[in-house]
Amino acid sequence: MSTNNETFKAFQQDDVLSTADVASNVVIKPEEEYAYGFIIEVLTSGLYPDVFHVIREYVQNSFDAIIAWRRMIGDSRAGRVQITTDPPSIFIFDDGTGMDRKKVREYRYVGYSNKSMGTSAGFRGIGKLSGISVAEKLIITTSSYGVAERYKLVFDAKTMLDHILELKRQGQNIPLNELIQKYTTLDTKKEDAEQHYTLIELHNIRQKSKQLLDQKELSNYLALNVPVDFDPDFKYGDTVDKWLRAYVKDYDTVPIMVNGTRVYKYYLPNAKLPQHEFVWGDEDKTGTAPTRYAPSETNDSEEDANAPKLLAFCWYCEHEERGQFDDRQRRGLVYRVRNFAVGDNQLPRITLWKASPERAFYFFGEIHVCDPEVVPSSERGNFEENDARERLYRCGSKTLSRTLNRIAGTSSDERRAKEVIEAAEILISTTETEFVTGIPKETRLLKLVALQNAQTGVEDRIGKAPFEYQQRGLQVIEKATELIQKLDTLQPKQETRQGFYDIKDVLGVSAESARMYDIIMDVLRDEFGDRPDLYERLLKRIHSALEERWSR
Amino acid sequence: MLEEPFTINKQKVRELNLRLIKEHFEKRKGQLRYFGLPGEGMRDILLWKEFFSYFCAVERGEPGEEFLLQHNLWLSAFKYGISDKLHLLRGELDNILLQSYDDYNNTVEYPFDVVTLDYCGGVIYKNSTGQSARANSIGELVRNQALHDKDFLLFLTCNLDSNDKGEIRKVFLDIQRELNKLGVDADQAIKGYLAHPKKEAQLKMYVPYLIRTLSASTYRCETFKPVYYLGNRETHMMSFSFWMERSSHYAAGRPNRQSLVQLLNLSAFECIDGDLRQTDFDIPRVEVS
Repeated sequence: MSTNNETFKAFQQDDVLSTADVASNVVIKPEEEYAYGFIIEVLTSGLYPDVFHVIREYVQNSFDAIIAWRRMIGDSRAGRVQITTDPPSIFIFDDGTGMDRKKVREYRYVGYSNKSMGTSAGFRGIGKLSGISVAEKLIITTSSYGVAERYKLVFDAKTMLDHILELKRQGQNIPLNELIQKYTTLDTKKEDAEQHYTLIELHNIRQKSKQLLDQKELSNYLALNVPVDFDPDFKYGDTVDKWLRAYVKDYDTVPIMVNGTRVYKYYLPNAKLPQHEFVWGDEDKTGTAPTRYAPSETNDSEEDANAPKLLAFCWYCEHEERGQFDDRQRRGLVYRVRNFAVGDNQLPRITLWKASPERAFYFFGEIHVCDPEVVPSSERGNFEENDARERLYRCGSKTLSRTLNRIAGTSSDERRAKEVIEAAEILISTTETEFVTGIPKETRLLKLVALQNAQTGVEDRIGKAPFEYQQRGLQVIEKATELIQKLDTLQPKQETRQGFYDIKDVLGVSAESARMYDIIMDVLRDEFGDRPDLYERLLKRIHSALEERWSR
Repeated sequence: MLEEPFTINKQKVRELNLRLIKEHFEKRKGQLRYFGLPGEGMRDILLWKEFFSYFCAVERGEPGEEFLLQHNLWLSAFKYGISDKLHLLRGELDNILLQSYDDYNNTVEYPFDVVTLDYCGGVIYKNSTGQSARANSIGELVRNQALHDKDFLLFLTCNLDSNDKGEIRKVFLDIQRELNKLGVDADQAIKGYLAHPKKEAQLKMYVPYLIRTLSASTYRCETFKPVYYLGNRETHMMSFSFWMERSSHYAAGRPNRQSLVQLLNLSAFECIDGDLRQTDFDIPRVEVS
């Protein structure tokens, strides 16, 4: 393939970047410069707290290009993103629409994007250059369907930055236009008109960003942050995906491969069936939020102005077992906009939970933000501060944290009730066996106390147990009553001061020692009331030790 | 390496090599490992790709702008759906083979089933100290392959630039002496080779002899009929193919089944506009009584 010199020259001639209003195509020759090269230093010094956010920026562009391509050809499954780590470079390739000449020109405009907020994953026109913060060169090759050309744009970030730093040392500066023109090159070559793609290379990854080349870390980041399909091993993935496609208008996914291996969205095992909640805004207008939601195909202007606004859709799975999920990175909820994560699992916990925040981690799931006025901040660690964000947090807190706390509380009560009933069943079973083999006289009282405690525990919690456990609980109460009566009748009245075996009488302790013994026993009973076996064993050892050593 | 424009003659060579790949590796289709210099167009890889699961490609790039051709090579890999099989090594082929790693410390992961060395220049080139980096690097490749007990196909393409300082003549005289010791009279043939106006005739014998010598202690080398043709920019090119056999029942150092006499008598193909014409360069055959 040879360089199309004619095209290239024409390309160069009209490729003069000015501070004109490029969006409206009104070219105004600037009499003074409004932007200077140091802004590049800001970009290269790291716009993002996490180096992997740079990859997310390019995946966002790929995602938008693939969605546009799908719409163009009417195939909702077309396109994929391939990411390859090949030291010293990382490549991000997509077979989306690709960029035509105009878009490639615009690629050099810092802070310029013709994407609209709310309809595209990226829209600020800064992220496209984020690669220069991690690599010495940023190379973009792209071809648009139907155009028999491909364009290659190279940003020589390292030389550009060296130049800026040298000027800085000398107390000088350079207009941004001049800088970008000096350190970028554009090249046009012939290409098959059927081809459509964009390839980004971050060439010579800087030492401080080498972790980008770690396939495992990269895949893990992508699984948490970008719009990939649910892991096929997540048994509820299809269900949740169907909900999201039905209720979140801009929800979509793209296949993403890292070094040939498909990346899937994370999930946590040991999860209960998923549930979902809608977060509605402006509840005051209608009094109550609708309980059902069907997305409308009509445009916004035709929708009922008084209808409450859907702010977010949340799905979640509760931990199947006790308490929080163990996986600190993946538990909890995460905000997502256009299926890209915003912030991490701490953000919903901080912004939505006012009471019992630890319960946020009893779940994992996502909050897909549907309100286009809620806009991710440029580093995507949070949302931009505005009324819409406050409304989301306020309404989300009312709906989500309350609901999830209630579910967590109910589950906790149920689990506790089940545990108490199961423990009582075991106690009854062992006591029944001991009746056959004979209950030693010194443990009869303990057994009695344990049964009474177990009976009281079951009576207290049976109302919160699941139905099948309620039946078992009733049987426990009935059997415990029988056994208590039986034990009571067995008590040898003559051996005890008040009809009970009492170690204090056996040892003949003083009143002070007896009082101390009673206090200790009270504490032990409180502590081990729901562990009668342990309580009994402990008492036996204490009594045995006292009988053996007290008189020494 | 510049992207090679499509030439029908080179494509014919690729097709001939594909036949050899099929012949030797049909049973392992889809599992083979490639090492070579495919260029940004990756035409050989694209033609042979159904046989391979791994491609190790070397790309040096143009001095000062090495990254551009390397980028283009990756672009081809993505466009043609083989990026997940590609391992790119960046740097000079000879250095990479000699060191077993590239300019960025990416290692050569031996072994390979097919090695294709599409040199831009000649094969005899020696540096100022008389060392032949190319020969040494091929020797290192063969040694590493032998460590894995691997039979492989070696394809080698070069132009006729030899920078020859009597090396070729010396090799032919060695061959003549060697055969004379065995009572074989190859004088007329050797004379014919050395006096032949076409350099292709000499290279037809010289390159296989070089490969046999470099691999003598570890491999038995079978040379197929080479092909010479006009490549892009009217460059005279010559392609060689070798089956490098290393199996347990052939003890290292045993003579090749293909004798020197057979090698001297081996004809070649001239490829013109994609058509092959067999030739013996009108060099007298060596007869063995």
